Amino acid sequence: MTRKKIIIRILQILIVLFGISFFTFLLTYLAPGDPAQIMLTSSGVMPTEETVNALRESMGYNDPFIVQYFRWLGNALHGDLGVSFTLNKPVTDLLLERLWPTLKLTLFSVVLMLAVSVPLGMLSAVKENTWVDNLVRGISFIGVSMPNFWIGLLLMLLFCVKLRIFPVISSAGDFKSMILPAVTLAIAMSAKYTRQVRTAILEELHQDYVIGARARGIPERKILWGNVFKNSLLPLITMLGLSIGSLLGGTAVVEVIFSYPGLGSLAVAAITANDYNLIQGYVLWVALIYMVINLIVDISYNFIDPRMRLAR
Amino acid sequence: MAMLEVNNITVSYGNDPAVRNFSMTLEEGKICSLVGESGSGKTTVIRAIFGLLPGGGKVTAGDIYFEGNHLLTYDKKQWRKIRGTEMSMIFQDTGAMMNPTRKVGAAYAEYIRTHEKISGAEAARKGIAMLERMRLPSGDNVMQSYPFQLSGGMRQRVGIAMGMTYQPKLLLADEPTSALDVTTQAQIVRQMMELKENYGTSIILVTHNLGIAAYMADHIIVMKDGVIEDQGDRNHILYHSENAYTHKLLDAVPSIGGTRYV
Amino acid sequence: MGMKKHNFFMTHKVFCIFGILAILLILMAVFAPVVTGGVDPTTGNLRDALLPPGPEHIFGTDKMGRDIFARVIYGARVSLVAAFSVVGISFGIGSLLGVISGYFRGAVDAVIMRLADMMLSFPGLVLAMAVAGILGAAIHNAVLAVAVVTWPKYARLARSLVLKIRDRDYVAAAVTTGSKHGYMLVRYMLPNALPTLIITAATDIGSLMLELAALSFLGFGAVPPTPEWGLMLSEGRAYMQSAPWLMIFPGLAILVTVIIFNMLGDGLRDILDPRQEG
Repeated sequence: MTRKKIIIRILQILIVLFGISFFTFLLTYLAPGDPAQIMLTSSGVMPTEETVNALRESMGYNDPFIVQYFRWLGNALHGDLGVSFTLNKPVTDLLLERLWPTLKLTLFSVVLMLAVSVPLGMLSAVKENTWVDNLVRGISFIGVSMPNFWIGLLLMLLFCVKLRIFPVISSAGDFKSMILPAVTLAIAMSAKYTRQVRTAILEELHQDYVIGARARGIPERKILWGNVFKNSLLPLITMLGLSIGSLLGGTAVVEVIFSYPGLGSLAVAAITANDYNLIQGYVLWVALIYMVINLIVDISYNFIDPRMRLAR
Repeated sequence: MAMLEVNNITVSYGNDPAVRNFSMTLEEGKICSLVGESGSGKTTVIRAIFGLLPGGGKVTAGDIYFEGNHLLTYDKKQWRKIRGTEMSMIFQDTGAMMNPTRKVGAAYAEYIRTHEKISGAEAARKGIAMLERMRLPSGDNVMQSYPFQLSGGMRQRVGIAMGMTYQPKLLLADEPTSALDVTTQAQIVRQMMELKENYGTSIILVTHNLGIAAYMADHIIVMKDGVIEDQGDRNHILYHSENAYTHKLLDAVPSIGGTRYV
Repeated sequence: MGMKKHNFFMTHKVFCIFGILAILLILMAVFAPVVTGGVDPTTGNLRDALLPPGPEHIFGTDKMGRDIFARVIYGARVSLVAAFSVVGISFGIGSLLGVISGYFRGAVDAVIMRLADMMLSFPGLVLAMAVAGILGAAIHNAVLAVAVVTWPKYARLARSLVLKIRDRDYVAAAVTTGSKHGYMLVRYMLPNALPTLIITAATDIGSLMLELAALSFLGFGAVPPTPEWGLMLSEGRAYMQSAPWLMIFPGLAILVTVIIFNMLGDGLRDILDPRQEG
């Protein structure tokens, strides 16, 4: 990707961020519920008409929508995303303190997922249409059809309640508390990813150059690892990127089940409590991360497929 | 026993016989051509000889002997030993038969190092030497290029170079010139004739062009719908055949200036 | 005539088997009162709370004494209607916008695609959560939220299919003979784009059902006392230790339903477009 293209992409990202934040702001503006009232009740003050009005004035909630939005935008560009009124802390701080646990969980889950789905997917592809292939496909299919929160609940039932290996509440954020959430996420993702690995590898295996290599007497193992695998990396990395982007936004459901202190459970709490500032901040964060990762993935294509590099 | 003996084979995909009752023999240093339209089974035959039938294809009757060895009993290991060394195949588009994301040099070196325990640099040298023998003077350049960067003629030369690296006894050529323009076709054809002269290689040439077959081959087999329709040497096919289909094919050969390219 | 039917079944076993199962599922939901023997899923006797599965209540009872079997069966109604609604809305609006976008190009195309891109630059559940959460917890809000997040996929797909056809010669021919836009859209664009779109819709039913269940689980979808499977899982969570059956049966229900519809979608794909690989 040329520098020019990268700059265009960054501009596109900014535009989209603008659009999304506008859209979310609009939604929160139109939503029922008075932010001033919510602020007062959550800080334990009884909202009377005067206090509510006074607060509204001071917070600028009586200003027209556009003014409010640009005020928020201006602040956001300075890194000030406002204050969460249910948790009484700056939004930026809240996002940051949940970032590290989320990163850890993401990393762990992805490593687990890759360790399972890449070998299984390759095995399935190489042994196409044998019982091994069918078994792997069958298990993947069921895995994809299961709600991932059910998997989490079942794991919790088994390991926390019945076997008492792990604690039910894992708010400590340490390694032990990460295992079950990571495994839950890994199971759900592996089911999906194994199929994709299989498809990508099969597509390569059916290419003519594989026949050519066989015609030259090259052993299957070399064909698979030296040629096929490398060529199928492209689509796989794209999907990996999407998955990571998704995970970094926080996996609400799993975090809620295991009470894991990540970005996802923060989002759920924020939305449930109508904490608009926090919601805005969170949405912005997720969109940013998602698009940045997509950009990184696109840039990495350059180094993987020479055809892209040379076809200027 | 002749170098290659194919005895009455039937090749089927599932329950569908694509080729029936096909037989041929080939002596050393001879060229045989299988001629026919698409779907006649000619490609199926050489793929069967090479053990490279695509998904589901099997030789369901007859046998194939190469240098006295019963090829149909060969396992993967035995095939790996003779493919690329004793028996080679070149295809219609060599470029398509190479990994598009790797340079020609990488693919060539990988091939050489599969059959010989030498270093990467030595393998590259061997490859370049072979390319130059095949009339590709800037061998180093070719090795550093990707398949899509080379012209059709150059790619076919690369294919022939790779196929001939170990001076195989038998070269199977599947429509090696069909994707080329007429001038380049002539060059490649001439180059293949030289192989026979310089190395004594036997060639089975698959083509739909009876003109090229007549030019190159000692023996021609005309195929239609999976069976042998007609066969004989050049003279017979061109001038003495009674077969209606052979006549059809002869009429289809393009002629330049009124004279057929023979 | 019988021979033809027999052949259709044999070559499309998957589609037929799971088609029948899907229909059975739908019938079961429609005739829920019959299947459950008249038991009311929304009321229960507190004295019968948290009973394990037994002859009276084959799936046990929940914390309010409600029969879980009845709730699971009635839950099918909610899940099926919601899932089909989402698919219907996304498919309908998305495809329409996509076809318009691809056919007319220009400013219309740019606007619609920017809008779609905006929605797609987000993991679906997050935005759906935000929309559903802000609009308030209700099943129809969850349906709306998921539809808002899903239509871009259909729009993109429809647009690319239209673009492919648009450039073909017979379309140019029709234009020169003065065919009107509406005619062009219906006669040429739609029939070519429909099969792929329908396959996508069918295979989506399963995953959209999962998303809806997730929203309800988090509290952004169905509200009590509605028997909805995701909600039931959330309710059952607190009683994991003492009454695990609260959690197991609704989960199983989701699993079975999604499997049936996923297989149905795959089977449909095999019929309409055998070239594509799973």
